Amino acid sequence: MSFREILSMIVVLAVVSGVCGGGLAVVKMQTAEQIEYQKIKNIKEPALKAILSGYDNDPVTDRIKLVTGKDKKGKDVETTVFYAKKGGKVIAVAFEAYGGGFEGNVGIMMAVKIPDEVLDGIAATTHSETPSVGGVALNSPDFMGQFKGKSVSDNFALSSGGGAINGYSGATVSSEAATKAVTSGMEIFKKFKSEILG
Amino acid sequence: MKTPELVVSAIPHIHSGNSIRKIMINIMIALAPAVLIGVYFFGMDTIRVIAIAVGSAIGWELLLQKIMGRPVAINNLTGAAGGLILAMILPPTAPWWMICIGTLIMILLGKEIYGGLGNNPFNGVLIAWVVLQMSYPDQMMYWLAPPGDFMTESPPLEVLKTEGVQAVSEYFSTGGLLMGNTTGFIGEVSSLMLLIGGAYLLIKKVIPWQIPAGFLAGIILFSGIFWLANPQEYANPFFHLLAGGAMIAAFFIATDMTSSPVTPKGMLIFGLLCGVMTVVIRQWGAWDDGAYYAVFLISVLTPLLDKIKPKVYGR
Amino acid sequence: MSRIVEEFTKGLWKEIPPFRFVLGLCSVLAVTTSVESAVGLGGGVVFVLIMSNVLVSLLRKIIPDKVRIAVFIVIIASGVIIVELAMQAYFYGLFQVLGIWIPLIVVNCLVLGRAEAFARKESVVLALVDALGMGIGFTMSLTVLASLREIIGVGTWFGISVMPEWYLGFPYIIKPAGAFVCLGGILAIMNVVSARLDAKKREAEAA
Repeated sequence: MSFREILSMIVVLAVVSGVCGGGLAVVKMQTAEQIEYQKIKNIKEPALKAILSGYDNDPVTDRIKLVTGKDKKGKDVETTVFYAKKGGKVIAVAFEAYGGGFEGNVGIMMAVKIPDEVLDGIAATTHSETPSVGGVALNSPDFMGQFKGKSVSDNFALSSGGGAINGYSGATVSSEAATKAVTSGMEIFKKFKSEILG
Repeated sequence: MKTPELVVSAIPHIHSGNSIRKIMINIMIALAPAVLIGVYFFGMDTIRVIAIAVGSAIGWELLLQKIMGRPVAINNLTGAAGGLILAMILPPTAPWWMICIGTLIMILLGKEIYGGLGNNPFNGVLIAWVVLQMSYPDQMMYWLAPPGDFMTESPPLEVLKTEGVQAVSEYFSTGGLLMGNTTGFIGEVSSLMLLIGGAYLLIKKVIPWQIPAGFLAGIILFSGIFWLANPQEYANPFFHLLAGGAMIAAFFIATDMTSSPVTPKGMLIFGLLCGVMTVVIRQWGAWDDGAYYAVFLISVLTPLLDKIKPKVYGR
Repeated sequence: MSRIVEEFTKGLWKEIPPFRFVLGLCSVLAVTTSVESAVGLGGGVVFVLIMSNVLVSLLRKIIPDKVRIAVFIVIIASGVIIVELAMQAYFYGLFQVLGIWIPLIVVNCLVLGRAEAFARKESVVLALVDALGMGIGFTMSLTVLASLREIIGVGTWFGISVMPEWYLGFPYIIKPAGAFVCLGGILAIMNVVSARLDAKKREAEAA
């Protein structure tokens, strides 16, 4: 094998890989926004529709991202806030927070009415709870409906822990996960109120 | 894998006087006791299922052989006998369309598509049964209760799977299992009637004794080991023998000529493996009864078991 | 010109994948449970095939023989990622249905097979035509197989109910075992038809 041959192999491979890599980077950048929109639309929109009402804009496009903390590795944790507007005026904001359940984190989307600062409703987005146990609780109007109308500063613990929420019988862990998620969501809301409403 | 077209038992050969037609007639005669007790237990439903199964099997066979341009051979009665055996392992409530689909699968996928009788690697009856079980699990589980009073409406093996050994010994007496006083598929409930039929086939030398003997021995030995080790958790071997499809599988299904080995040793191993597999599926599998699935799975090994043959003289 | 027509039509009957080559069965059998996913995967494969065939043919003079497979795979993999991103961005529902099968187009023997057996020896136009023919043939096969399975299995086509009210479906066909039975049935029918056509041709030649 001549030196020329080896060189041509290296060059061709490098050039092809480079061009392909560059092309992919461009495609990735071009589609990133659309993909995020699609993901939110397909995963979060059902929850948003369930808890928001009386708006005339598209909350999926009317959203901002906030850095609301750092995880264990020191990476920023972002929370996406969705705005429901009527006639250009914000009537509610919705965002997602997480609480540890029986099987990993339970994601809860919650809506806060503006300016009353009371909960307009909550809905589960992502979870891996046992469908026949925790899943039932997280879809139960009886349990999830308790949050509606509560003030942002209420104590969202289970009644057994001195709070205002009655756990779903048979699914205490999942109920607790929901209350934890709402509690942490409310903390985020209180802490970043000026950014969210600003 | 290349398998020889024709595998013949070792010499010497004596003509038994059996033709395919005669064998099939004998099989149907042997099933008569089980059919009769099925009629006694489930009444007209048994007659309905059997009539539809046998009639549609013959009809499909006629139709398919015409379409495929083969000589029409419904006279050898393989279709009729297959339909009868299939009817025996359907619930008495089986709807007519399900039976017709079953017999179509049995004739088409079980026989004609491989080039007609004798070329099929699997037992057509079992293919049909597995397809129906996979497609219509609900319709395969509508049981009818035989007359008389008994403690549960579930077949014995379902009780074993869902309620455990204690419930089994409480609900079922050996005599009841022997006579077939339980719910279940039409032909599998009465072990005694199937034993009578099996004995008839053995006496007439229609089926080799090695397969049923191996099958039943496999069940007794394998389930016996677990029963001796822990009788609280595992059912006793005789329950396994009498409940579910063990008897009909051992005498009527595993002995299907084209999908079982031809050498005596091979047949014995085939039977034993079927028996062991039956117990394995019953104890740890997802299904209640493992007998039919066991035969289906083990018949994959038939070409391999056919390699076990006596040494050729002089080599 | 006749060459172009020939290269295009061979993908539609004479060398129709996967029925003639029986290649890439893994994804074929997995996505043909519904017509929608079959067409979706077929579209993805058409795009990847065209891209890889054209690029390979363009670069055929400068790709050193010894590293050609590596170069092909880089090109094919890039195409597949583009398909995946595009599907995620514009057909999210389909993306969720197809899931793992999109990345697996990379290892679909058909794409690499066409690059290796055809595109690296032929001109760009012929390679493009070959990719089109093969891709359309592949999509057609998938659609036929999926239609058969969806109609018999659940009584719908593209999610629209096509069977009468009383039809209960035949779930066996939707299961993997049923996929093999359907594929076998189609292969058998194709062989019968081919044999008939060949016989006719020979008769015509003899006469």
